Amino acid sequence: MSNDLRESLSALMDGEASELELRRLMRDSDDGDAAYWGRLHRQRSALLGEPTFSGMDISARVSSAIAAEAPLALASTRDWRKPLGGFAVAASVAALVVFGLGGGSPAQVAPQVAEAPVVQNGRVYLASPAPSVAGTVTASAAGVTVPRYQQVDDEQSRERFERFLRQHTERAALNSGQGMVTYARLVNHGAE
Amino acid sequence: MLRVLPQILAFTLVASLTASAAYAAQPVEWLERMSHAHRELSYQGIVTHQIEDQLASYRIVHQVIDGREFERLTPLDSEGSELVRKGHSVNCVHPAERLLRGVSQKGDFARYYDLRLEEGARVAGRDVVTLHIEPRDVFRLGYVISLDAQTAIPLKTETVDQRDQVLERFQFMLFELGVAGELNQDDAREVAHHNVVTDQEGKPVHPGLSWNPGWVPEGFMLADTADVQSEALSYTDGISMFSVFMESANGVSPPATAVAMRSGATVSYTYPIPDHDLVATVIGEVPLLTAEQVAKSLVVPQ
Repeated sequence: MSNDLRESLSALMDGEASELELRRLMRDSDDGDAAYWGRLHRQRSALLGEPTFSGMDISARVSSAIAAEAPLALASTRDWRKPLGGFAVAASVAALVVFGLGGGSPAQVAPQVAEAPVVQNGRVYLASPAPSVAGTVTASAAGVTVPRYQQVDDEQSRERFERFLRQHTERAALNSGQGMVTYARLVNHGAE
Repeated sequence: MLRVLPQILAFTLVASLTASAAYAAQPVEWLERMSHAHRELSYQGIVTHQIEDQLASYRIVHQVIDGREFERLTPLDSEGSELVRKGHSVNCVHPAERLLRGVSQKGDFARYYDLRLEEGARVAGRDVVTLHIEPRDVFRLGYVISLDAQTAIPLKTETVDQRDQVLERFQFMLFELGVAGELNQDDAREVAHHNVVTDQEGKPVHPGLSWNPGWVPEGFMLADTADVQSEALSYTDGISMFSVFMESANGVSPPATAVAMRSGATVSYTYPIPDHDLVATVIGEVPLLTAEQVAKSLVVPQ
């Protein structure tokens, strides 16, 4: 292991690693580094008089758990959410919190998020350096649950939709460059 | 014969003029022409509206009588009744039109959309130029509009999402310029017309509404405001439009949670605001993300 990597690992443990260093660690580190990382931790724990977990390495278990996991639930989200790109996903995550307060069904929260705290542990980053896995880890660590929308088909919601679509279309027909053709939206919808 | 000849000459002259203009025109100039062409000319035809695998067809008649628009839309394959509309004077410039009319000079539109022109296709037996309007951010949908090369009336309009999936398609199967006879105006429904109030700097202001959105995507301006029917605000960026409606939660038994719905290119996001006994609904031809963000940005005073 290069001295650079060692220094980066030390910095990481002290919470001083830059993002660049972290990326490099994730890319270049190997099993030897993981052992070194464990040693560093044991030394620090000894210094601080904390109990140690010397023989324990959960990284393999977490890795296999991640590998076995369904490709993160985002893939099963309604398709019209998916294409929005990185910025949009971030925006919907922030919004999701508010959505939950509104009484969203808890059953819709992806169960695998429970793994997130374990995954956040620094060891896991080192033990699972594959970029794709790292990506998954970051996503669940950030608390990305499924931004699912309730697909409602009750009479009242439908009535509301149609009523507002009608009023909206009256306004839109004057402003879409299309004219009355847009009224087809109403007729079509009503005829379903 | 002598009477007809000058007309033929005049027609040829006009046709050649428009043809040469078409050749040189930039995408924004087509957009500008589109914004008013469909209102100023008389035409009729059969138009289809497609959402996913559903297809519905209509007969449409648009007639300008004494400078005023009349339109009729008749469903051809459903029981629905026909809709006759008495429009505004063709000189009345609507907000979106205003945004698009200055587009080649101001260039605002180009900040939000990339424009591309494609030639050589045909729709309803007529030559078209195809205008690709691609959003530059995540808050708008895209459009692929085939404009009649002679008149700049849209003959085919596809609304596409951010993944280039077609959400909705309007397409003329048959298109004819000019309308014989006159529409029966007796059944015509007057189109509501609200003036958007502007302040001294020309910025639209909301008359008498206690609430307003804290955020709308950049480039959207107020196009329409509250009427007797409802508390509502509509916004347009020239091509896309969404409306915000506010209703009292009393008597409508509001949903316990936010509700999203979609039909073709139109999405709605209904958002209860229990602290104020209000229910907000944002509806329009925008990505759901936009509707949701606007709904959640609504500012309601205590």
